[in-house]
Amino acid sequence: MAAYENAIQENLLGLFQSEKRWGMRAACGSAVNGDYFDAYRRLSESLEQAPEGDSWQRGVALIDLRNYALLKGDKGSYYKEQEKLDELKSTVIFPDGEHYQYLANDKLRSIEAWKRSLSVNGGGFNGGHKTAIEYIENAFFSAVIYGSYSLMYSARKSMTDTLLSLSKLYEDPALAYHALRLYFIYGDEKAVRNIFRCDWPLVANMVSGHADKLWEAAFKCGGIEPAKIRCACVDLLASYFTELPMPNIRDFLLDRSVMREVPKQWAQALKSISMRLDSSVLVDILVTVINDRDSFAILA
Amino acid sequence: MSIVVSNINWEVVDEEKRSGFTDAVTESWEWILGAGQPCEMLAQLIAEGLLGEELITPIKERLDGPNRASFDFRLGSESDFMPLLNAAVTEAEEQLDINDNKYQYSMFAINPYALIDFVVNKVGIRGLEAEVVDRLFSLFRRAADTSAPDEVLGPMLGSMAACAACYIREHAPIPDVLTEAVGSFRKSSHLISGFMLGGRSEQSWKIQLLSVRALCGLDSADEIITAYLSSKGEYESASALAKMMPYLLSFYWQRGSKELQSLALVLSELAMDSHPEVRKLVPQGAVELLTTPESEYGHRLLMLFVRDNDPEVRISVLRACEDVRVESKYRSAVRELLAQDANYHLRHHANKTLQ
Repeated sequence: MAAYENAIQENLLGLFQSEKRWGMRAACGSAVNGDYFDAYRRLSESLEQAPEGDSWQRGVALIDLRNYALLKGDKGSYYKEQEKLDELKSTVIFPDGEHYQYLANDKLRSIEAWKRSLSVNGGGFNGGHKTAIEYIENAFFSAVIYGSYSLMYSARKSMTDTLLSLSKLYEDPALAYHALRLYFIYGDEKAVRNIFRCDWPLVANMVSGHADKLWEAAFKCGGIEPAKIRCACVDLLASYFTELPMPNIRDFLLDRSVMREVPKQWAQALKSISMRLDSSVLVDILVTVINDRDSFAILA
Repeated sequence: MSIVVSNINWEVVDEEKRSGFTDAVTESWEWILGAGQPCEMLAQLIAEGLLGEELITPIKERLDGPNRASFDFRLGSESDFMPLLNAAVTEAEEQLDINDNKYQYSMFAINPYALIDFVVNKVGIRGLEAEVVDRLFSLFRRAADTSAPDEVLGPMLGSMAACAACYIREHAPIPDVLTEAVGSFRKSSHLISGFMLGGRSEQSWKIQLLSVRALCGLDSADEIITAYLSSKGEYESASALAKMMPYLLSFYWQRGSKELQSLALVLSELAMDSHPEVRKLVPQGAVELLTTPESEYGHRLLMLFVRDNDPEVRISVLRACEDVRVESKYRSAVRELLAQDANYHLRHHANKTLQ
């Protein structure tokens, strides 16, 4: 466990220590522990005390501040920090996009390092994998916020792969559930569908009362087309879960905006769940589709 | 939609909802067909007595070709296959007329060769009307002389293999006209570049052609195996060979040839393919092996697929095991495992269809 924690600490915090950013180490430590309020407070304080001159470092800290504000769900602070950042951008020459890229690369490197340390120490830290998940999730959020699309994609893939392998290693379905939840948060339908390709004994382990939580996660997910994720979620639940959140699924399938927005995915979800839906609900859905000619034309 | 409709248990639906549904369909059937929905759903509803029979004539007036034949087929006793085959051959002739050039390829929504394969495999070639079979073979002969690309001729080679395999299964000699048509096909591949929707390649053409030629006694299995090994790792070739495998296995078993063992080995190679689309095609070959002296080998392959990571591959095992030739001991072994599958649909269908 100690070896594992050291590896995490070195990989994560060493990154900031070497750059000598003021207060960022402490703030990042809090963020890693999931305490974004504390992270935001510490970084704001250190930024207030920071010497003026180094605008580039200030800018980088402001990006972190803005992101912590986002993570703690404080939109007011988020816009405030963004405003400061925009103001700074007008006076400081940022190498065009380079710092974002640089940070994204840093994050990806740290994720990869964690992944390596997990595979090396994986067998040794009994039960420590649950803490690892928290670290991994935090890394994921950082990567998502900083990264370019391709970097985010690599980060997602490496983290969910790690989660799924850990789930297999420890025979812990909760980890597989975490992986799924992350897939939903990515807002990437293909990623959700990837779960169909994973080991079936592993998926079998997941059939253990997580359906409601998954549905909730699917509804909170972001991404460009969240409706697609929800359709994939219906498909997934229909295939692998014994107990289903039926009223939610029924309302979702009867939602005309979903039919129109993502007809192909909606039709796939309906096909998949049709065997398990109540016949009168199926009739309701079909009548809605037939009577709504615009939706029907799109579906056809 | 037809899948959804088939999952409705009308006995538990209250009268009000049922009439709401039938009213909506009766008002909108024209619109439903116009929007490109298959006519099978309407046929299904009429057959179940949910829609009035007075709709049959106007619906038929709106349909033509294989769609009309398919509508009739669903409404009838589902035993008269001839109109279906007749319509499919006519459609294939019309499509060949349009695609009879080497520079351009038109893709059609209806695939007549899938219908031809379905009817031929279901009824057997000798149970079909001679006139339609003659038309089909003339089409094959005519196709051999055209400059149509692989995209057009590839599916046709599949149907030729299905016909040849039928004669072999029925212990009847393959007619000269079919052998002659197969022998006249060009050996070189001609693909319309940049139009690779069918997942074809030069090697896959070679494998398909060599397989049909082997079934007609014009080539040997060695050549097919060599062609496959020289393109190993290529998805298109593996997929083409996996589709031909059931026919080839049946053919070499009937000839009592040693090549059956080599082909069984090739089948196990295909079973290890990294593409799930290829693996999906192999259970059909494994079922064919169950009827040969290599049945234990086929059984082991099926057991391997039951544990495949991809649910689609496991579904293909289920479908392959529905074949009446599969002995009950093999079927129950597969059912026992699939009934414990993580996937709800697989568990449901395994219990329902393999009982």
